[in-house]
Amino acid sequence: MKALTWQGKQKVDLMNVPDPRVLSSGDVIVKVTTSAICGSDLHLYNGYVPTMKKGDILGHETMGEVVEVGPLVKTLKAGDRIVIPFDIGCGKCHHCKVEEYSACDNSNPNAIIPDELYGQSGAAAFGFSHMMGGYAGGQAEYIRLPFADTNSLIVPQGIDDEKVLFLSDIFPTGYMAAENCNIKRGDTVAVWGAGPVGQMCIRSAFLLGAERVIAIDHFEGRLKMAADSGAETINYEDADELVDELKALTGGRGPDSCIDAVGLEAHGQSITSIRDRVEAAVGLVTDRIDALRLAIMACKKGGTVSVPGVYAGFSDHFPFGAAFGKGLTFKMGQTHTQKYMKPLLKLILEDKIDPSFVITHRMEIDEGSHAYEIFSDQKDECIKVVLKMH
Amino acid sequence: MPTPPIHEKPQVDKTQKSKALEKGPFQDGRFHDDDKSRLAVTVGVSPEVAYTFFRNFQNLPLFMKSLKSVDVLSSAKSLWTVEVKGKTVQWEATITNERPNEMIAWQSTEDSEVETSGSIWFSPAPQNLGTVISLALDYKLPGGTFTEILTSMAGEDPKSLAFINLRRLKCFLETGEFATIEGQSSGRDSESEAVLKH
Repeated sequence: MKALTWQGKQKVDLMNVPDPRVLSSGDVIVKVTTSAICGSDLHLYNGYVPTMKKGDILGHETMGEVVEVGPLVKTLKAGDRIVIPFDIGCGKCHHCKVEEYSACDNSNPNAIIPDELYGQSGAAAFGFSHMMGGYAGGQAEYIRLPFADTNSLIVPQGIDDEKVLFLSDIFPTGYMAAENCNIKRGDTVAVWGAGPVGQMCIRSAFLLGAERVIAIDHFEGRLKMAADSGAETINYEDADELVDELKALTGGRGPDSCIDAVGLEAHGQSITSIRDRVEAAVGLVTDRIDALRLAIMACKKGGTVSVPGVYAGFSDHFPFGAAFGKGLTFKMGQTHTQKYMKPLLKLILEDKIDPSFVITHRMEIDEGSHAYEIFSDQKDECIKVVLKMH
Repeated sequence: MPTPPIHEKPQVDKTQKSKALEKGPFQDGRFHDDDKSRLAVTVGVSPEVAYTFFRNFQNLPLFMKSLKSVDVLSSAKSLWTVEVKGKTVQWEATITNERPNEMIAWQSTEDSEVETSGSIWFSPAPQNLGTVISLALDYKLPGGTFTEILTSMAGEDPKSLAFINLRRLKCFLETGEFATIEGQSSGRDSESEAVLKH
C-alpha cells in the first residue's frame, strides 16, 4: 500500500510499504477513505517531537471502511464506516472506564519512555512517535486499529467523509478545550492560534454559551475564518501590546478564560519569544511557549487557562508567579476523544455545526509530501488539508 | 478446593529462607532500601484472579519477555528457561513462602547459575480499583551472566524489564491482549520503497 512516511526534519516521503495485518485479537484493518494533516503533525515534521524513526507512517485523523476483523472484536463488522480517534484506549483500564481515554494505562507498549520522562505514561496515539507507542498512522491506504471496539465510531452510510472526519481529533480537541474553560453564559474567551483546533475552540465556545470570543493569530486567512464564526480578531503583529489590547477589550478585567491552541512552536514577536527561539535552536529548551505566557498574563484573576496545544518537553521563563498571583486554574492534556465522538456526531447530524468549514485544501495521497510543505509554510492560505486515500 | 484463609500462618521453609520474604513490601507497609527492584502496579481484577493467574507458572511466559518456559517440578520447585539469541539459560527456583491470593516468595536454588530471589504481593486496591501487585526483586549477578541475559532480553536493565513485564501482566489481565506494534509495517521494511515521483 501507499503511505506517507516521516524521513527526518521537514521530509515526508510517499512509500510503498506492506499492507497492515491483524496482530492482536482485538484489531481491525481499515481501508482508509480520507485522512487529514493535523497541526500537531507539523510538530513532528519540524522535528520538535523526540523518538520518531525514519520510515514511521504518519497520520492520526483518519476514517474509512472496516475490511478485516479480529476474533475478540464485538461491535464492528466488515463494511462498517468508522472514524478513528487519534488516541488509543484499551477500553478496560480504570482511566478508560472513567472516560479518560488519553490517560489509558495499557495502550502504549513503550510506556517505559514517558514513565521515565513524565513520571507516568498516557495513552498511545497513531503516527505520533515511539514514546507515544509507535503505532503506524492513517496517512496510508490501510491502517491497523488496535482495541478496535474502543477506538472507533460508526458513522451513518451516506454522510460525507468531510463532515465527520474531524471527530477523529480537532473537533473533540477544540470542544474539550472550550469545556475545560468552565464557560458561564456571558463569558469572554480568548483563543491563541486560529488554526484548525483554534477554529473548533471558537465554535465550541459559542456552542457552550460564550458571549464573546477573541481570536489571536497573525495569518489573515485564519482570522477571516474566525470572524466568519463570529469571533472578534486580533492580528498580533498589528497589536503593540497584546495583553493591553485584550484588557482594553474586556474592561480592564482580562478574558474570563484563555485557550492556548498553539502549543510548543509558538511564533510570537515578544522579546521572550525570540529568546525561546534562540534557546530552542541551541537545544537549551524544547518548547517555545509565547502563546501560553501571554494567555497567563492576559487572563482574568481567578480565570482559567485551557491548553489543547501540544507541549512535549521543558519550557523556560514560564510566568508561574503571575499564574499564582492571579489564582488561575489550568486545564490541559491530550483529548479524551472517544468520550466526545458520539455527542459531537449528534451535533453534526442535527446541523448545529459542520466542521468541514476549516478545509481549505483537498488533495490526493500522491500529493502528500507537497501538502505538508504548504501547510507548514502557510503557503496559499492553507488552513486544513484533507487527503483522499482511495 | 476451598480458598485457605488469607491470614493463614506462613509456612516458612527454614532451609531456604529468602531475604525478600523476611522483608516483604507489605509486612510493614513499605519496600526496603536493599531491594534492588521495587515496583507496584494497580490492576483492575480481584486479588484472587491476579494471584491464580500468576501462581499458574506456565502462564508466565505469556507476558514475560524472552521467558521460554517454566516447568513445574513439584509443588515448590520449578525450572525456568530463558532463551536469548539462540542461547538458553536455565535456573531452578523454590517457593519459600506463599499465602494464597496474597503473596508468593521464591529463591533460586543454591546450585543455580543465576542467583535471584523475590516476592510478589497481591492486595486489594482502594476505591474498588482491583489489586495492587507489588514486586520486590533481589539478584546477584555472578559473572555478569544474568545482567547480560536481562539486558539482551529487553535492551534494558533488570528493573526496566520488571516494569515492562508488570505492565504486560496488567494489560493482559485487564484486556486479554497485549498492546503491540510488533509486526506492523513501516517504511523501514526491506520490501518498502519510495514511490517514484511522476
